[in-house]
Amino acid sequence: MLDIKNKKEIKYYIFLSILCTCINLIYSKFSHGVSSNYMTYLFLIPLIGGLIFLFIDKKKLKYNIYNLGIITLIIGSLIKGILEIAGTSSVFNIVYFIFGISLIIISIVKYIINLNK
Amino acid sequence: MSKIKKHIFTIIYSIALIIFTIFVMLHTFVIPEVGTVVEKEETTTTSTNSTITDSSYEDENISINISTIRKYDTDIYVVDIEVSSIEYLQTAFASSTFGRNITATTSTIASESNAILAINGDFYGFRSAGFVLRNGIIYRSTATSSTSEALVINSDGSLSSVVESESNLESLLSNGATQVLSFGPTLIQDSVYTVDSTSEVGQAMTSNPRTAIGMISPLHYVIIVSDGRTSESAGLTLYELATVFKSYGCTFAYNLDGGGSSTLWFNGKVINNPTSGSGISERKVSDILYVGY
Repeated sequence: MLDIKNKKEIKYYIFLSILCTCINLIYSKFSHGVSSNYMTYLFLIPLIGGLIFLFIDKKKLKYNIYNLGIITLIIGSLIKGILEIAGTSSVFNIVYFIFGISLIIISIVKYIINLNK
Repeated sequence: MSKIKKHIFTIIYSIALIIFTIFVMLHTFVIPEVGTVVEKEETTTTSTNSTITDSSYEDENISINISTIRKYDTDIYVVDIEVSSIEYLQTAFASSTFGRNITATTSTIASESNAILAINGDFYGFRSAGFVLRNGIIYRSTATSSTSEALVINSDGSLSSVVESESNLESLLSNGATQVLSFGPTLIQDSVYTVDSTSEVGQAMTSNPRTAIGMISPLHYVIIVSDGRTSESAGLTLYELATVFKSYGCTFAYNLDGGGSSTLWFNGKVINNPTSGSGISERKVSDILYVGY
């Protein structure tokens, strides 16, 4: 059952997902047929990330930290996609994924702790 | 004020994220990382008896013939090269320096190297992995990925390819490799196609400008550069490129860096129509493969 309190967050994550789809579509117009899974499936990060708000109470989640984690993953995936399409890579790309996943884990751990309070 | 205090972590983190992203992009595309500067030996051999036309060069050691064909809705430049020794098939770095983001146009590098004919190489400086062995010196021995193939130019004049993750660059050098370039894939091996109509570089599933080198027999090579991404030329798929090599009797062929990098330079002129950005112009690259003294 959809928690009406989280409607705003769900709308925000759906908007992010549409934005990611648009970025991929526009970028693919100029990439001479080269594609990257990191760019093609970029929209899945906010889409899956937003699913959590169907099931949890936002107040018990470290919402800002969770958002920052998702945004970090989106930017990391976008940069990885751009570099892959250009035919290169960066040793620093992993940093986005480490920070992004860490922030999400921290916020979820905090949520679990709050549940038990 | 209290609102800012409440969101101080978000603000600082967001600023750090933006700065870090700018750094990553600059590090990847702009900031030069100088490695080894190559000291080019003074050329002792030159030809005094050469015949040069707009599409050919002939002397006692080097024979070059360029022809242009139209196939697959694309202008294709085919170069037939015969040399008396592998020492005339050479490579050069932009600014004679191995490193990341050190680039120059194929024309510039070719002129500085006194080349007769040159093509773009593998653009090694755009990536942080991939074998780089040039003129008998190892510059980078990190393999690209599990399936990546490297081109090996051997001292007996033959061309071959190896899977980087299953090879050792030191062993290749001790077995007689004079040049190793890392791009690929191999198009033809032992006269058999190693690509099909679905093969592509990365996930580029469309036709593109191409640069590739093939071998008819040791010291007898075919270089193919195709136009593409223009209204006049669609470009070639890897399979189409392989079929052109096959039609010239090549027993081996290997794909080099293509797209906007594809450039064929001969006797002071760019022969093909390189597409860099939106117009016809040369893209700066890391390295070239050239024929010369």
